[in-house]
Amino acid sequence: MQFRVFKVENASDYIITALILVFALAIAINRHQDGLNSLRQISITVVSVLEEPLSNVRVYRQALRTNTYLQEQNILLQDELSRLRAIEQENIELRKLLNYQNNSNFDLQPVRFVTKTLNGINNTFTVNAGSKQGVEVGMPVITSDGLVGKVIITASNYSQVMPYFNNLFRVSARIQQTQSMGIVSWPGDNMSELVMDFVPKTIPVDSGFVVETSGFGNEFPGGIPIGTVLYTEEEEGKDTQKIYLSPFTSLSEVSEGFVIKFQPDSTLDSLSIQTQSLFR
Amino acid sequence: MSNQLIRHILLGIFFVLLDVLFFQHLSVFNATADPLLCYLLWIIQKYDRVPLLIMAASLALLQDALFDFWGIMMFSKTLTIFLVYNFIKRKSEAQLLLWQIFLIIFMGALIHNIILFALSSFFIAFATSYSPFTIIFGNTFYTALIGLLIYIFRKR
Repeated sequence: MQFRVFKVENASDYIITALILVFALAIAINRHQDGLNSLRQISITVVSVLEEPLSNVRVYRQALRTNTYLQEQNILLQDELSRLRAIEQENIELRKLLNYQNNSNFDLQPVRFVTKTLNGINNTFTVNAGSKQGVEVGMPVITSDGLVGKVIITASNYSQVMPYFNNLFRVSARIQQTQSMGIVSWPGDNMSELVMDFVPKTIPVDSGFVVETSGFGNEFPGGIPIGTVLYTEEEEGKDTQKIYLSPFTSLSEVSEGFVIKFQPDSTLDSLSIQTQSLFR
Repeated sequence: MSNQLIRHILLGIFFVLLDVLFFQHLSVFNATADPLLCYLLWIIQKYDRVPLLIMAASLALLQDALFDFWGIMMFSKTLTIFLVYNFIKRKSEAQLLLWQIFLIIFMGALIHNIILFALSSFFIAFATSYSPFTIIFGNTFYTALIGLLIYIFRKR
């Protein structure tokens, strides 16, 4: 191994290096002195002038980062706004239901629609109240707007509901303005109309008339709104007319409602049985 | 003063300005490259020790002024050049491979940054947001990498 030794001819290198290092240290130590402070001010000014054009690039880079951050925030806020709008809508509906419950004479069981099948002829809903809550088969289901359907099956905590858009649904109804009676059912061809049959042609019916449950048939209490008359159609070869209705309650939007704990009058039932037995 | 010396001094000033305007904003994990050090290591082969030390001290003083370090860069660069001069001068006579170039710049930058860190710790001149690991190893590695790239581009 060969070691490098100090050579006299290199002494000037060492001396100059040492002088430079001492000078550098002196500057570093005295950097806060008055003399250097003025130099520092000049250097800061020079750097500022040099960097000024490049600051626009930094501003642009910062703007890109800010833009990404704001886009993320925008998505989160949109999501929150969407949820708040849904809650607001639910709040309005619940307030309407609460108001209806306070003003109604019926014994009402508040329910939430947990499932909806509205894609065929045998449409059904499920509500979150059953026999434990006193719900029984045949009880009408309503909202603050009007009739929805009737209970067809009950479990302990859930019940299945047949809505008016079901080809087996029938309800005895009357036209509020004329008190003429008929049967309301679903023609099955579209999801926006009901039809009222058995109203004589002699009864003048105009669009906008309100149709409600009649209370006859001992199945639904009277006075539950069903819908408004859209138009009428005379039946060929018959003395009756078909009345087409627009229902008050939108089944696709309904989310909360009530089951009316309506009990059919047993006296009427026994009278009906006795009458039928007379003609056997 | 020869034309070559003037050209090298102007090039040195250019590297200082490049550092101030460009490289200090290109930090990677808080590590920044030092193009002036790469330049000084490169011109070792072209000058004797004394003129090179004076040039390094002058350019480092300019860098100190622009970075508001005042004396720290001057001290560390002068001492680094003094220490590595003989080694690089000998090595530059042979044709070096890329990894050897990288290693030489890496070692030079490592020595420089250790001196820089020790001195700045002594004067408490650096902002404490820089960790010792970043200054010694991060800056060293980054500087060596930049020096290697400059070497590659210069050769082409």
